[in-house]
Amino acid sequence: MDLLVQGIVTGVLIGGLYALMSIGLSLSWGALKIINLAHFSFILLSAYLVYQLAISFSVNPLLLTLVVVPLFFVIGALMQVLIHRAKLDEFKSLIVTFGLFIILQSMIQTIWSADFRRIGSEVNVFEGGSIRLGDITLPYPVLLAFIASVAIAVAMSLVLSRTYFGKAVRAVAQDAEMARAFGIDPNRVAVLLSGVATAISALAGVFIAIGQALWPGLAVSWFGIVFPVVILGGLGNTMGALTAGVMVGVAAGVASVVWGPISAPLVTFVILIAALLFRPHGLITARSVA
Amino acid sequence: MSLLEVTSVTKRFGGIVALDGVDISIEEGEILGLVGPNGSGKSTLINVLSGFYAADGGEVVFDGEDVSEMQAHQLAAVGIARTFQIPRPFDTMTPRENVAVSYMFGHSRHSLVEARLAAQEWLDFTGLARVADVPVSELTLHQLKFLELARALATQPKLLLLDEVLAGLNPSEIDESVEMIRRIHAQGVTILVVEHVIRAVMALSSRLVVLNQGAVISEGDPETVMSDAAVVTAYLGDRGRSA
Amino acid sequence: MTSRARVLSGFAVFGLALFFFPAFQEAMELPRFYVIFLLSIFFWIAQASSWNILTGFSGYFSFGQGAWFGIGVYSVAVLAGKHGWPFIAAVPVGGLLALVGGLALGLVVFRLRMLGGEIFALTTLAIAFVLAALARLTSAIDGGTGTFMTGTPIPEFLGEFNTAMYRMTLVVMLLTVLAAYLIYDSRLGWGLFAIRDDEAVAGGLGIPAFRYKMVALGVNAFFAGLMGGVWALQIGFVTVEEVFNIRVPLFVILMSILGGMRHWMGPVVGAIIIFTLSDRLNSAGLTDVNQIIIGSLLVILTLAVKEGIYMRMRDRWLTTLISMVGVMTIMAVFGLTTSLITGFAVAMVVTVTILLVPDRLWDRVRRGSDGGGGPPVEDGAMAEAGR
Repeated sequence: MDLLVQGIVTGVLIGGLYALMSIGLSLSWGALKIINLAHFSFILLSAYLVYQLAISFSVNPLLLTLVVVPLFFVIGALMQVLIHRAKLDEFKSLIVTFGLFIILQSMIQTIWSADFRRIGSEVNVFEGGSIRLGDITLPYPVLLAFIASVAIAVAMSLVLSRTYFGKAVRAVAQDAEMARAFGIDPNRVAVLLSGVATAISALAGVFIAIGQALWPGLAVSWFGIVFPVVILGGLGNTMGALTAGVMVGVAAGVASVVWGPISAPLVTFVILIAALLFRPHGLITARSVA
Repeated sequence: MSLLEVTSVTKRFGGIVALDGVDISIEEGEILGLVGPNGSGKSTLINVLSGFYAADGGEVVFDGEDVSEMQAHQLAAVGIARTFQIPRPFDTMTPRENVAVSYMFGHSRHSLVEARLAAQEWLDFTGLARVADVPVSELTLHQLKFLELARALATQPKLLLLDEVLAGLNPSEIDESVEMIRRIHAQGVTILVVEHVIRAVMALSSRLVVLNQGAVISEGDPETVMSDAAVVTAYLGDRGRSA
Repeated sequence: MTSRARVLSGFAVFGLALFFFPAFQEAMELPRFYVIFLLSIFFWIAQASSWNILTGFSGYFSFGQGAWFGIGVYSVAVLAGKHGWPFIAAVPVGGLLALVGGLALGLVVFRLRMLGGEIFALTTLAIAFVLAALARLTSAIDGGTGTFMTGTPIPEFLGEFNTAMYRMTLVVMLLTVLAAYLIYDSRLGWGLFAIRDDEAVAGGLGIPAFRYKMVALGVNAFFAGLMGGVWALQIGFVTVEEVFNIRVPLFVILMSILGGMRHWMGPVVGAIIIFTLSDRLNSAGLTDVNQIIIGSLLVILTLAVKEGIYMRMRDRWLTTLISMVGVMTIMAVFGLTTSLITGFAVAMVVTVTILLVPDRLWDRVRRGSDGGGGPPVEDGAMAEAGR
């Protein structure tokens, strides 16, 4: 029983990480109508960079947030500039970002090989550490990720609803041409949003580098987690992504305890299918960016 | 028995009630005009009647058959066709192919070969024969609207729903379009004309229905309806009512 | 002769010629490798063609080719490899199970109004991984240990191993491409094109969109699974990593985009080009770079190629012919290669590059060489406009 409760708690925390991984995609898909498959490589690349810099310079990986987040903000912004230049529609962007994903994956594999990479505990102060609440363990890496994801989800939610930028984003998401008539430059907005989305993904990469071993196949294993979270949470809905992330995390966590870790993608997929079957309209009304 | 009987049809979008218990009947062979200020629900009604939206309540009976639950392609099969206010041609096909596809599937099924030949008939009828084989991207708005008509006609409908087909046209194009609609009518097609261009709708319709905020506020002979106080208020607000 | 009769006779002629090729190869003492090369090409033509029937014709983007392929492979691996079913009986089961899988997916996703296309694409992305996980988990299917197909005998009448594989892949390939052609030239095909252009409007014209999408998906899944079943023997040792990796879903996309997604011949041409290239790169030892090249190709082709190489080949057939023959002759004469296939590969790269020159530049070049007086268009460049 304790094992189950632990599974649920860990699931909630991991759900936070899942949400963090999903918010970027949710925003760019919801607001920019672009499904960016390279998103997954960005998270992984960020994680590998954190790993590499941490061990090469013996730096606390958490501090490397200050390096990767701005870096990937720029990368995300640049990517949007290129996508706009190339005038890609939704499906073409799907294919192009898929190609980008392939390229990044092979680059990662070429540089770091297919072996598992893990930041050693000399550098990674969070490795193996945890907070204990009675019988329940809250491992540091996922706890930090959870806290970060709640903060980001709330922050983005407020930004979208209260700030000028947020309103501009929502306007552009609804009708870019109309927004232009109101003095909003849709391109500027898109570039900034893409930068923010990618930066958030990079942040997720930091926590992944802290919390687990890295190998190239990770990116692909995330498809089955991130997409259900994005779809269930509603495109562009950051609080929704948080909720969905936790749901998926708990479901996967419980499944891991009961059936073993490999069953996780199956469970998340079943959740996705169930959601599509029984609540397809939920996907539409939950488009909170538009 | 009317060709189309619409009874208490409602349609909601979240909190907004777009259609609020609409009752309309259309007699076979007539041209019924449907007017109303922006946001009155005209397009929504067309979308419901053609199966693009599902109604939330009410009943639609077409040619004696209850079609309330039917989907778009089934409605096309029983003989209801529509055009779009902003033309939506199949843009990887030529006009001829657009019409041919329509003929293949509409009211009755036809083969590919038959369809390509038959398409000529509607292309001629709408004066598009000259541009039948150029990319759709090279057509003018007027031509695209006529393509919409040709395509709708190729499904051999009993009832044709025209959704603001005159929008965006200059006066001479409007006159041509009105003439075209009359010719379509002469072929025996019953027509529901949703329009903003009042003079055209008055010229075409034998009867007029006015919609405001999702409900019918007036119907009858065009002259009478347009002078109805309620209608004037709906369009112009209270200050529109002259003493 | 009607155009349909012409095409069908073409199928018959090619089919027969290819069928007798192994005998020809033996008689003329050509390298055995040609047979193996060709059977791989048949595999990819079938995969790309079946994929394009759904994605190219209907516009519903599928990342799930690997799923249907995988179901086909594993059906045979389990039934024939583990339970001793006759190979010939197991293969159709692979196709049918893949069909069922496809239809099940369609039932769930195709009814969605909004976001239907995108969600379909993403669900197909997930489905292969889920099946992989399922296979790995269930020892009845794989359990992580892999299945040896070496114990499975091929019926004797098919000949020795390579010839047998050749014949089986040839048959499945011909059936798949025939299906693609028949759909293309039918009401179903036109209905799918209309759905691709504007599904809502298509419905309004009487096209039963849901039904047609299901048919396209079903055909896609069935042939992918059927070829997968045959391919189980070629794989030899069936493992989850070998079957459910990114290669099949990725390559079919690449091949169809390159060849052209609007025509049934597009994937055929694309498959031949891409596989030949990939094969030559592998034999030159460039396997690592392979993935990066593939990814870059995908990006470049999507950006640069509007309607695919096949249509261009058709429009500029004379150029294509001259380029192919010319390059291969040059390579042979100057002894640049002794391998026919390498010569073919290089010729194709050159030809494709020439064909990718945009029309405006091309017309200018031609006009220049004519001395400025000739007509601006070559044989049927106007066909750009049509399908």
